[in-house]
Amino acid sequence: MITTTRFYLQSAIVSLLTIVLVACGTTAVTHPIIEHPWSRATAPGAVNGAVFVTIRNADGNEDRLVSAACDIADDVQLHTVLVGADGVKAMRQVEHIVVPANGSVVLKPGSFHVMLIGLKRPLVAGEKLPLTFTFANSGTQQIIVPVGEVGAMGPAGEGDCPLCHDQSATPVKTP
Amino acid sequence: VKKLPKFPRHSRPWRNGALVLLVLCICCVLASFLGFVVRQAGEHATARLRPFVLVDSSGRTVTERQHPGELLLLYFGFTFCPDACPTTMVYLSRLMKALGPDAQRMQVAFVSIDPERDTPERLRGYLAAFDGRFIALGGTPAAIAAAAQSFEVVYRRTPPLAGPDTYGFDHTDMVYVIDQQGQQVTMLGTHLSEATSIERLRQHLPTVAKVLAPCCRMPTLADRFRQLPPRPQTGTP
Repeated sequence: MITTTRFYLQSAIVSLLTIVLVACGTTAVTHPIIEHPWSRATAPGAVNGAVFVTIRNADGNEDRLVSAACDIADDVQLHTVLVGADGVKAMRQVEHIVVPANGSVVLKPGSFHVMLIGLKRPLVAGEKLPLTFTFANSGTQQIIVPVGEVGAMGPAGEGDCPLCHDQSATPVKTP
Repeated sequence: VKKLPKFPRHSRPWRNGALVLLVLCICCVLASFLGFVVRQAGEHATARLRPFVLVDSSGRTVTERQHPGELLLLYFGFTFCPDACPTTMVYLSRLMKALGPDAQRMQVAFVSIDPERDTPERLRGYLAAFDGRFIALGGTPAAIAAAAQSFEVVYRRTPPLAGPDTYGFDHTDMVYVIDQQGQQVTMLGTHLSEATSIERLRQHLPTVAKVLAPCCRMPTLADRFRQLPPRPQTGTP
């Protein structure tokens, strides 16, 4: 009798432990935190849009943004802007954007951005645009992007002052 | 005490001398001012541009010497461009707001390097979204290429991104400032702060001294160097 009880007790503990371990296993993947998403209203005639965000990674492992999807665009691509030695800017598609371990990456004008190609309708100031981000390690994540005025230079109300300081005009990187 | 005899009014000997001194002083001041004006003009004189001819939306000819605004702010871009061009247009519209009344003395013009897709109608709507005062300048592809060459602007068409009509351009992302004498006086860009950009523009707004300067100036050796051979061919699509 005692042995049977002990057996049941043991199995209960083992199964509980298993459940806890499995649960831990699934939650061990920390999703990157998407901060300050923003976009600009498209000027009449413009058929493409761009989305900018800050992606923060609280995890000890590096993650990669591999794709983005949006219903109102024909195609969504990850892009960067390269500046050549002659000062010529070149926008290029990238396969992924690395989110460093315990670090962050900023998608901003003149740098990494999510490009919405062939918008089926214009982006209007004040709207909230749903987007899906897919990460290599942590899977997909839905985000909502507030669309600012056509003249927005950063997320609304962030007190961002992109024109307050001179930046280096020297070309940055061209892999 | 016995008073000294007064000189007769018309024969005070120092009177003429004082007058001459006064005139000399005025001359000195004028000469140094003129020297300052000439130096200023010398500092601001920049390379004369190779001529270009574009047209605005109402068919008026715009050249490096004949353009609206005491300063013409020229940008080469295209509406398909999702990042650099809108960012520069936003930058320019903010500058115009910050300049206040001085903005009326300048004209921002957008030259599309993509005349195939950028129709005048599309450009009009596009520019109005940033600032109603901005104008589009266009022309034949050859005229646009020639204008780009004047500023050493480079643009190269890139392969389509997705569909057949989704090609883009690698391009120089700068704003060129031209005065009424057909000279490029400075460059602007989104890498500059608003304060620096405004300072550059105000520095080159014609003042009375600067307008007078060319009349008081003899051509110098430096001027002869400025009229040297044309620049190498660069900006072709």
